[in-house]
Amino acid sequence: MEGILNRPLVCIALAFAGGIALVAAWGSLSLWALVGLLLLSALACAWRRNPQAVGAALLIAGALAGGAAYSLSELRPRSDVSLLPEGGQTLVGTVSGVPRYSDGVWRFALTAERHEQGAGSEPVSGVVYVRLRSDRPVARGQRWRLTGRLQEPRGERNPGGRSEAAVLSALGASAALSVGGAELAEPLGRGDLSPVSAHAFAAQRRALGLLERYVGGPYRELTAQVAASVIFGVHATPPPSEITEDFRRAGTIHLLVVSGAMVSMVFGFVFLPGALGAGWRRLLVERQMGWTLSGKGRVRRWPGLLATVLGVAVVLYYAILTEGGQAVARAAFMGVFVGLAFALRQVPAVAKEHGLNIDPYTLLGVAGLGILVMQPTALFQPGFQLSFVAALSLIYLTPKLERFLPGVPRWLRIGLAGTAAAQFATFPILAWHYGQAPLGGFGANLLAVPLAGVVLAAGMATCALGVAAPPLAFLPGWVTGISTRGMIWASSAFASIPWLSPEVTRPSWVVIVAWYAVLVGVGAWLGRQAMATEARS
Amino acid sequence: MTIRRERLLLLILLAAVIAVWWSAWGAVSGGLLVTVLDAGQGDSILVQAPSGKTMLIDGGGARGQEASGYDVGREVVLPALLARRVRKIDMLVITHPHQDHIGGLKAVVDAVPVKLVLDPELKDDSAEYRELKAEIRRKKIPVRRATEGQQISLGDGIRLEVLNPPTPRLEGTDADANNNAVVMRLTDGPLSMLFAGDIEKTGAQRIARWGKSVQSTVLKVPHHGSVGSAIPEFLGAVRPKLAVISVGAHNEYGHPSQEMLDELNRVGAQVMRTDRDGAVTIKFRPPKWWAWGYGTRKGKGRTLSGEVSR
Repeated sequence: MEGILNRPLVCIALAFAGGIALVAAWGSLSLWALVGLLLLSALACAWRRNPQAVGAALLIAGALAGGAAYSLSELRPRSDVSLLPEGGQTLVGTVSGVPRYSDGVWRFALTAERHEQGAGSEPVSGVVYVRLRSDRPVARGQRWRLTGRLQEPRGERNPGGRSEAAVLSALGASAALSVGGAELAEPLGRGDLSPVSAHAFAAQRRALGLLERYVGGPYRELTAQVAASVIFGVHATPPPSEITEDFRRAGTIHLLVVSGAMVSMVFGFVFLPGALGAGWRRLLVERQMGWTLSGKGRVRRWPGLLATVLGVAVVLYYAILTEGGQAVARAAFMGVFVGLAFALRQVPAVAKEHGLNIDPYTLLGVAGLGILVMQPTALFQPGFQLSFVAALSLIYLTPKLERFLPGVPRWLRIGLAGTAAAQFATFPILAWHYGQAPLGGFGANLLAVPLAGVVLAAGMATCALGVAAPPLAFLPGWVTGISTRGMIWASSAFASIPWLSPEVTRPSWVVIVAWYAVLVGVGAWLGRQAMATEARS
Repeated sequence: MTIRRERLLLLILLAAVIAVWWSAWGAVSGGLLVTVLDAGQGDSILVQAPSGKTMLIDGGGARGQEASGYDVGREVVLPALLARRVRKIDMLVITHPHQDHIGGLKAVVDAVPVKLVLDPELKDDSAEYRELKAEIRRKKIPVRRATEGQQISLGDGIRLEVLNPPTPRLEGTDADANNNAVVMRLTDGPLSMLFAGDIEKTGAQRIARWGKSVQSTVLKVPHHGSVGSAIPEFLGAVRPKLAVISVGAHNEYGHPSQEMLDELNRVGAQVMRTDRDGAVTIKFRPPKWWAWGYGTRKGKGRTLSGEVSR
């Protein structure tokens, strides 16, 4: 990718990720190799003192840091529930996900606090996915003592992928606890949730109720469930498996699990009006390599700062509300950094001295580095890989693919090129992790993604009006319902064509590397063609 | 690098990617598909013939699943049927009425139209079996009594032969229900697969001494690989290229036994296990076969393949 070596933060993020991958693949031997390389490069720096040697040393140091962080995360003595032996166990913890109830069984995530054995107990950490056979109500934030059969989570181990893996990994749970009856579950009162989390959970409960009440159109209950999944994630009120299966086959399942795009939209809803109010008429002027904040006319500082603070706060609140995974973390990171960049722009000295270019590659690199520093093993999670690869493809390939669509309106051109770029880029990851190649993803996403935006905006308006002016909430409720039905229809239509979602065997890493080499090569070639055309004209 | 060379390199890479993807799709499209589901310490096998006919052998289950609230039929078997676009089951085979084989079947019979049930009709008065039979009666699904010698066509020359149980049923063995389990041999040209149910020593020796050859390309290993089923005579007669063991992770019985693994190794079989590989899918496209696991705990699936001379 052109100019990537000129972005130090991106290079360090890549080196950090590379260090994690190296140590994960070859163990501590690669750590010692990196230490040796670092020493050699330090010696080279001392000897030659040229900038390239210093750069190489920094990169090796970054890789070493990544490898060390991964080793530490693996070696750190843990008291995780996953380390407890399988079988009968008693755990005390707080309900940390929205409990679901069906067929006499409660299902919820429990953040474990203590493991009890006989008269003694010891602190434990981690999240368990609980199946509790009981009619007694269970609420988020409650503390429980539960006795049941603890099991290692089952991964994506069967066609259909509706084994425990999908649920557990999304909830961050490392084990499953089956509790056979109400007599084995003892409520211990309200948990020690932070006030913000407690507020977010209560707000989510209320919002779900409002959606169920006001969403209009055919099949209201089902439509409200799907709309709630789009706005708050699939844990909120999971739609029936037939619907989620269709979304999975059509390659639109990301719309039901709160993706980075949703976080960006939420950020945009709050941030853009304030920023425009601040006088930035063309807030994001797209350049070849990134975005530039620019303004015309008088700049009002306070609306801009207010938009920044509100945007960042809302994004963080939304991330808690939706219990988001890696994609939400990435988008939240990026949103916070855009906010910070905007806030810095308010400082005249900074703006005058440096201008303010927001480089999307650097933004993505910093977000990735932030997540990997906090959780090195995230590198191997499909959510992390899909989110970053999709975002990178949108930044890198979309402008280049747009060239193939001359004469098409810009909004449609971006949609078409962006969807194609994301499909090309995520293809090998989907095949690797899920054994499927959703070929219909291009068409399904083209229809469903804009509708998801409408669902998000109209759904939030429904919730807001449901609180402030209930008689008016039916209007956005109908819009939410109709657009949700449209999403379901689009996904079902593409999923019903069998050859559009074939199962594939897991591709080898050679194929994956070759695939991305081709994508990068095609992107570079298209970029050069564009530059040549510009030069000629 | 000149632009012409760059283009050439890109074309070569593109061709390589397309070739490998093509082979990956080729491996899974068309042909007879057998999927040994990861149903924990139980059996559930889905057979999909190119003619569109489908057969489900057992529905998994686990002891105490009722109490735990976990229904393997609802959690594993039905989603798998859904994912594989199975809208009806032409034949549902109950190999024998043990909980780890029938536990998930009630949910399946409830949700999916079944045309025929093949049942050995062994004596068993467990609540699960009674409920399942009641559900089958309520749905008015025809039931055929399984017995040796039955031949069933799955279309396109794919045939299924029932090798066990005999008539009259075996009695006085170490485990009558297991030894009378339905055993079937599926043949597709030169390729074949033996579904050995839960047979133990007596049943296995019967099959080994079956009049015709029982040599099979793939063997669904009997009784989750227990020591009681590790019969050298039986495994020597079957001589599988691939042995699939349907077994739960960390099961309390210690399955599969080291004896079974040693015997399989002795006859030169490659082994795939549902506790390690996840659901194992075997695709037959004579004379070639492919097998792949749905994933392991570390997220690495395996693909095996082979070819049998006609």
